[in-house]
Amino acid sequence: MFITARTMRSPAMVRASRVVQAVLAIVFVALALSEIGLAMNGIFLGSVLALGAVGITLVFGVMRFANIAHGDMMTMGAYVAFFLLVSVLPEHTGLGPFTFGFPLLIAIPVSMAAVAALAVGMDVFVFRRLRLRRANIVTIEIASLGLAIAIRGFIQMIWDTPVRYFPNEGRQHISLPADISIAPNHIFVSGAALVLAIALHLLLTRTKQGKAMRATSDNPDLARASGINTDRVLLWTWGIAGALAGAAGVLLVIFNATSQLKPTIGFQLLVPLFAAVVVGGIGNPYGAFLGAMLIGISMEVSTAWALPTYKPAIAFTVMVVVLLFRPRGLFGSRG
Amino acid sequence: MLEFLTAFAILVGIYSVFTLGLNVHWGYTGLFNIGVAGFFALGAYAASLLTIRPPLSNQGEDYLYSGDLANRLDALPVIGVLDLWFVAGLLAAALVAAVVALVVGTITIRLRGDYLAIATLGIAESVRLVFLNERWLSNGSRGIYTIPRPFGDIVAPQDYDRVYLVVVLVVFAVLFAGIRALMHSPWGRVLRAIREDEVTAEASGKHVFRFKLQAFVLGAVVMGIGGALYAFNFRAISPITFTPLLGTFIIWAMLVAGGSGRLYGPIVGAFVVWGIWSGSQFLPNVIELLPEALNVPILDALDLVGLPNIRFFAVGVLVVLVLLYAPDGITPGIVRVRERLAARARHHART
Amino acid sequence: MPLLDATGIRAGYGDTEILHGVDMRVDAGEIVTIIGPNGSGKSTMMKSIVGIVQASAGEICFDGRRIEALRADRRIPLGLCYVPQTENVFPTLTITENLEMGGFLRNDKLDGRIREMFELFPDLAEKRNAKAGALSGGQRQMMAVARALMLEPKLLLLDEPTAGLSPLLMGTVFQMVRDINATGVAILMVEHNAKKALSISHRGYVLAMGEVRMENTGPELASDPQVGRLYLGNE
Repeated sequence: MFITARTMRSPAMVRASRVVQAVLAIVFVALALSEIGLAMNGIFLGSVLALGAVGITLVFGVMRFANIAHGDMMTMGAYVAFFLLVSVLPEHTGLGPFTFGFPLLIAIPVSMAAVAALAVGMDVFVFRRLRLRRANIVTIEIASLGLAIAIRGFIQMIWDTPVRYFPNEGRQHISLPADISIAPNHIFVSGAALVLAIALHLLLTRTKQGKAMRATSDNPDLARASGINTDRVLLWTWGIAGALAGAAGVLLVIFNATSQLKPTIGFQLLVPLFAAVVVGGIGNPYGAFLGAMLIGISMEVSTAWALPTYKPAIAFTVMVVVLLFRPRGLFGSRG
Repeated sequence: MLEFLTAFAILVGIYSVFTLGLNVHWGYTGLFNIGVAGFFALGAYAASLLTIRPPLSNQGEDYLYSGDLANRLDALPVIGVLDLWFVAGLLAAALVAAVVALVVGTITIRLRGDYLAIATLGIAESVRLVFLNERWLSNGSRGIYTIPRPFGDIVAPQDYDRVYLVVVLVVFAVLFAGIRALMHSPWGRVLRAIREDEVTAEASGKHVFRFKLQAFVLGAVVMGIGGALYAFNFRAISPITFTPLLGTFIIWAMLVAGGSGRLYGPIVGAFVVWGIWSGSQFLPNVIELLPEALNVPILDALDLVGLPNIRFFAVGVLVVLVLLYAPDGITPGIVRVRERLAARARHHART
Repeated sequence: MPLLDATGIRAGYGDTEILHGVDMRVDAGEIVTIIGPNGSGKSTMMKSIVGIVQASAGEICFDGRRIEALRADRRIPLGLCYVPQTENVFPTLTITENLEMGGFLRNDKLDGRIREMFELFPDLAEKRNAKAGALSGGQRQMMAVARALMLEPKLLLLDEPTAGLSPLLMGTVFQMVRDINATGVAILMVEHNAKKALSISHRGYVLAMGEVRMENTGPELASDPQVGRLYLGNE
């Protein structure tokens, strides 16, 4: 990513850089351990980020562009669930220890399907046409910015701008030793994210279509020369990324203590999402997952000494610091 | 009506300045900056903080620094009439934007296009968060609201907008002429060569990084000046102005619609997009009349509570449509129509 | 009837035309080598035969079917497989997964064919669960060829199979080409190592400036003084 002049370093510099990297890693671990409760919250936040970041990185892998509309796709997932919970599904809250009821368990897959359809539609009607015209990457990037605004505009048109809430009822936190308390919702969020991550892993490593996705991400020309229909792979990738974004949007709402949503929740996460993708090595889904954890923990732990509103700036700073030492991210990129 | 048109023209002028700056980044150099709002905010706050009066603690104003330049310079004999503090405000905006662009650019210009986008977005958001949270610096979310107006004390309020329109047009004309001259200079030719083919430009011995950094700073300076013009127009700014939607996206929409890399693209784009944006605030009224006129029950049944927000949707869709169907923007089309009209006029003149 | 018969092929990238009407033919069971200076259009010819580059004019007949209008993923199942010069494996996929991708279009169980490939390339069998990106140059070339053989092609297109290999490994690769040909697979290859390649080829083409300059049997081209002077570096 950096031009060669920057990657050519003397052995002494490489050693110095390794030392600084080790120190930074130790500082990170020490800070996380000193605020173990916040670090736990960071893992929960990281779970939500991971679902979004993995989608961005998968799309990047096969299309080589960072989808700016991804945050708003998440918002769309949240509003589809809101619509279902308020207008379609029976009213029910307080499932087990959670603030929400069983209808949410129906709303999540429906939101995933809806956002997957939206993502596939975006590819068919916009991105494929631009690809066929051999439009350059930044044109495609601006199109995704346009779609981001259009999706949010659509949401604002239908549900307007005020803050809304999923049906919910207040719940006690679970107390753990060392003054740590955990909201039951957070455990649900992380569990759901983990289940989806494992499902994705199995899809990518065990199914023909999943392997074809990885192959296309590795080397699109060779994939075509192997007889893989890369247009179909792209649709699959958009569909999967969309489904994960839909789930992430719903989980983002119940992650929030008051179950609130507004049309900007997804877009506001764009900087942390991109940070997770870049830190993990752009194009690498496993890296994105770990990157999301790192960014989530950094954001939450920072609230011990910085205003919570600075969280996106913290995510951005972590990204810049990582890029300074590892231009291809922590876990290697395919970009 | 005239007031409305004047206010409209002022904003077209100010947005043309931002678009001009973005054209330097993307249109001429190929730098993908989606953090226009950051430089916009820096310029607006720099110009405001330099010129506003000192804070009044009984009004809950927490900012520590104010240049109070408007009052200080106005007190001077002779020069006071010239309202030079306005020029100082513009220069301060340009300077702050330049310094930040220099620092940011040095770190990020080497990044590939989409990484630069992520970096600029992150910086714009960070700038906004600082202005939002650091009350001592910027009065936080209340913003700054006692910004003076140039020539405000010698022009009657009802005539003021027309005077300010002239001010905006003069500033825009200076910037426009300057950038046009630069783009026709050898420096501009190198920039275009870099945009077309970076590898060849590097191979022919041009220091690509330095040219790109210079262009990044230049564009940021123009955006900063736009921010100052914006602040002096509304006399009040707050972090809400500098969200990615209003501070960045709409400017991109203008550049894309007008046609990037074209000299007149920014003006055409700012006019069209701001026209749609301002015009579309009446769209919901029109749509609300439609069901009755056409007897369409669907819209009534849907009960779209957020219908006034249809403009956000419309502008997003507009950008995508322009990219799909008129990738060079609408300016070439306008030029063609004008040429055809001119040809027809010549034809008529002959017969 | 020839297995592959391409006539009047014009192709290029964007506005630049690289091939200006090339005729080329491969009969069943043949080894055919294309030689020529850099930029003469050798790789572009291979790519337009497989369909990665779309020919702007000309006809391509393969196994009695017109294929020039087909997309790459529709041509390959007809029995022509292609090994690019570089980036010819999927680096983050394992060896086995690479082979599975090679057999993407097969509907049967792949295990049998994969086992055959491992018998043909024992080196690969040892590393079947390693990532292809971790292979050495020679192994990587084996991997690339094995991937292309997964579909049991009638014609195998090899773009510079010995590029970047040591002289010892080059011999191995040429032997591999002959072995594959012995099983009945026709081979069309581009080679820089022209003399060696022509010596094992039935026929050869000399391409220059996007046109066929010469066509003859392999040994005769190899001994042609003009070819030697112009393209083989002989003085």
